[in-house]
Amino acid sequence: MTLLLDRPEVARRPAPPPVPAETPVTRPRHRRRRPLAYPVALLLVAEAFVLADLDVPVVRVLVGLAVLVAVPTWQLAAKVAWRSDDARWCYAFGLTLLGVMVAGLGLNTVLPLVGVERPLAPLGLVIVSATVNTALMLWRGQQEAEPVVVRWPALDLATLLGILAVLVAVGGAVRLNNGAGGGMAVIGLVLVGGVFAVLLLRTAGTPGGDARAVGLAALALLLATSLRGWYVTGHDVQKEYFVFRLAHDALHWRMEAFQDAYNACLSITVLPSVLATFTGVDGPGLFKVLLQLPFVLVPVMVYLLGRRLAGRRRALLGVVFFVSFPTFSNDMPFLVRQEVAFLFLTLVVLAATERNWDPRWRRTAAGLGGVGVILSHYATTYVLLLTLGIGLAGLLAVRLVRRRAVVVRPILLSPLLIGVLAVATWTWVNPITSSGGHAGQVILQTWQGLTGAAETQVSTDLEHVFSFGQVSDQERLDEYAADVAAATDEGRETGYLLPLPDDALAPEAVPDPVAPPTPLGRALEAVGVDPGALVGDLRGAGARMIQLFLLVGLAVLLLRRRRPAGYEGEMWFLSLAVFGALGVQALAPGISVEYGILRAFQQSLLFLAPLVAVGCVVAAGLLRRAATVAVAGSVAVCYLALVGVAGALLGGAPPKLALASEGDYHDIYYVRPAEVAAAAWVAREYGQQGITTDLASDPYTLARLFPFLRDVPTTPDAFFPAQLRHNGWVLVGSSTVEHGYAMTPTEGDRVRYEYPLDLLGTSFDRVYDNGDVEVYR
Amino acid sequence: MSARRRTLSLLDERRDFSVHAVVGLLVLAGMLAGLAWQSEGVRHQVALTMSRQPESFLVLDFPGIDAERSCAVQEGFVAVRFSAVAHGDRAGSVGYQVEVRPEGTARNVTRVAGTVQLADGRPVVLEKRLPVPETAFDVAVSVLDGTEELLVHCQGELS
Repeated sequence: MTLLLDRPEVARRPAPPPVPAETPVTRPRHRRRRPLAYPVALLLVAEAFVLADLDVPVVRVLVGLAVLVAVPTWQLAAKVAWRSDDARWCYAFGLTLLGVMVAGLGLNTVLPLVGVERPLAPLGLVIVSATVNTALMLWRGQQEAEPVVVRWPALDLATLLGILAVLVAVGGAVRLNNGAGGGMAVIGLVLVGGVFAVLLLRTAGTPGGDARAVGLAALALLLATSLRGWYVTGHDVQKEYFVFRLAHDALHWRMEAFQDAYNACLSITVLPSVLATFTGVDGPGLFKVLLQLPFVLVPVMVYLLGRRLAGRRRALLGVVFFVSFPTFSNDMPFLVRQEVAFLFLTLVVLAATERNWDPRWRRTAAGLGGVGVILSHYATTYVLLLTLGIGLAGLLAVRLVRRRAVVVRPILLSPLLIGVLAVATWTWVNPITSSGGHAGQVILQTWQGLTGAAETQVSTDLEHVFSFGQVSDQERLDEYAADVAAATDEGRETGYLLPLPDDALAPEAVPDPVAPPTPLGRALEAVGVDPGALVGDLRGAGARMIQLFLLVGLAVLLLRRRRPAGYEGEMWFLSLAVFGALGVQALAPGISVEYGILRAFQQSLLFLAPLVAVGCVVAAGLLRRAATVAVAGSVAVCYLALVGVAGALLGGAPPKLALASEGDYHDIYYVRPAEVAAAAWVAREYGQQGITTDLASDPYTLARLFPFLRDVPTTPDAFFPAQLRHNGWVLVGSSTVEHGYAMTPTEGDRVRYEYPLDLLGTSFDRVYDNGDVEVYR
Repeated sequence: MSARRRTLSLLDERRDFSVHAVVGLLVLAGMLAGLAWQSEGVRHQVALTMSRQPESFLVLDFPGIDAERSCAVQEGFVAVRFSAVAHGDRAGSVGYQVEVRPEGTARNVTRVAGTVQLADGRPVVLEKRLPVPETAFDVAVSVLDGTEELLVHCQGELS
């Protein structure tokens, strides 16, 4: 049972009218103050505990989180007069997180100037933390602007299901990691669906109660994926972990250590380094668990935002669509920098829609959130600026066309705010981190693509999302193989590369792996229904449903006079701007590959999720009597199909990493202990023998094993059959050994192909074999 | 109260499951778990769910430059030196064989088989001497109850 922190009812009452000047003021009697010495002393003991680096399991993590996050969040929530009906804890937490990043950056910048080589060492951090926490505790003494009352939470059904979902999801992930089946993981996701079902069926609910259940459900979904694997698992997160290690091992964040846009994200460098110092967790658990926790607040804030804009039920529906969208559970746990950036981005929108706040304060708060986005993730920042720019252009255009003032008091679309954010972005990515080169390249490529000056890639995600003419894997592979063969002809003629038969030069494409049909799936097969096709259709229907509802929601926004009250004024422009920015990202060549349309769609749902729900309700309303059934059925199908439960129950479909130990992401990102053992052996051999030849492997295996091969020269360009050299070392990863196929990136996507293992066997010596990995030379 | 109303009441956020009920439920669950704990199968499933289990695999490798040495013919013999290490359930007695296969033919293969006791995570270096043909040949080292296999292509007396 956990403590619930909530404000008392009395604090929700409207502020009393101002007292006339001539009225004699009677000072309220002060309550007897409790001495502050004890809490401050307790705090200092906790800080000393962290400084002493005492490794007491669980206790150290809890104490570290308490002094770094909980105390400042509590103090800020209680002592700042937030005048927010529902989101003061979110603001306080966001401010704390921003404070951690900025304070870390400050120490990192200032201390080296006075000769401190390890500015992120515990001593400096603890001194700052103790000072800030003590100052916050002493600030206003015991007088809390909005007092916090501690009481036991109501153990309602949704909360109980949520707690159960988290426990089962964690157990499911651990079982899968241990080689057991995915049944428990599936049950975890079904329980998450149960949480949303209970919330939606309730006739009423408080923001606190709903938010608690939504948070638990989101946590279960995230942990189900993030906890897969005993090592750092997933795309992006492996490189994120690498830049974190650079900063944390040196206890000094420096761009010169790795001049890359990843290293410019404080969310994966300074923030985790400070968190690791306080909690003592600096292994994969930091990224798998602790850094997932802030993102839990994002669906909660999407709910709070939706509640403001469109009402409770639609807000909850919007959250269901938000977390059902596959990127949420498939990819977000592997994008820690973007998780943190989304937290700040949602705070920006939440602050901008805070009705009780003065416009100037709303803009200031939104600006602070914007700074958090800038420091956390470059691409989210660019998309934010693109969106605000489109919105501002739209606002100005409407004002120009109508030739009269449109009654909109811009907060986010304020030219001043946009200008400040743009300048801050430029300052961060150019003079400070020099990490903006990549963005410039993408813009140039996009421009060249649009003007036809150069051929630019388009992401195949677009084909999947919008289902337009798909190029087959074999066509894509043939084109790639022909390019490689042409580029390597000379190498074969000179004898540098292996001579190959024609069939090895043009390998066969292999379809994506699918799970075998389950007993339920076989029962369907017996009556003539292909379970794989059915799951595919359901997934497609779920994806199209979200798109359709979004379009209906936008139509309501554009055409219907009685649109939801929250979507008046600036929100109307912003909604269309978000949609416009999504369109730009989808259609502009280059950007869709760099950023990924699915991630862009997830980001747009931060804002548009309530609108999707509006579309859903309107579409269901057209069905009149069947409306409730239609809404419930469509939402349930959408959830079960998109999070992978339907596929796991029926089989015949591509398995998901959270639910099975097979499939696309498992092949590409899942690090097995046997692979780590092989990488360690190779590193040892390279070190002992002084080998300088690049170790060849497929790019995904090299990326996966990068942390374990840091001292080994590697190349992904000598593994495709046509690129095999006469002399050299070749490491064959687990999916190739197990299934006989390898993967290669082609334009905008990756393709599986049959790998000629026999050719390796006859041309090289197999000097290492552990059943999962083979090493040839 | 109708069934529908009862259901909705159960869903209500104000429906607070009392601490006593939850504690009672937990005690009951604890007792059942205690009974189930007597079963080894249950204990295994709990371990699978709550903690990291060691992964089982077996490694064969030619340490150092022993792959090249395996081709070095002396007085008509090669000394094949390789290493084996087992993890998890693969630890224990492991059967292996070393073969010398003349290139291009399945005949005249010489092999020597044996067993070795492998402790979890501890490498063992083994060496076997086998006669070789005068032609090019392959040296293969494999385990008898697994797929792991080392393979070296040798040029015969020239190497």
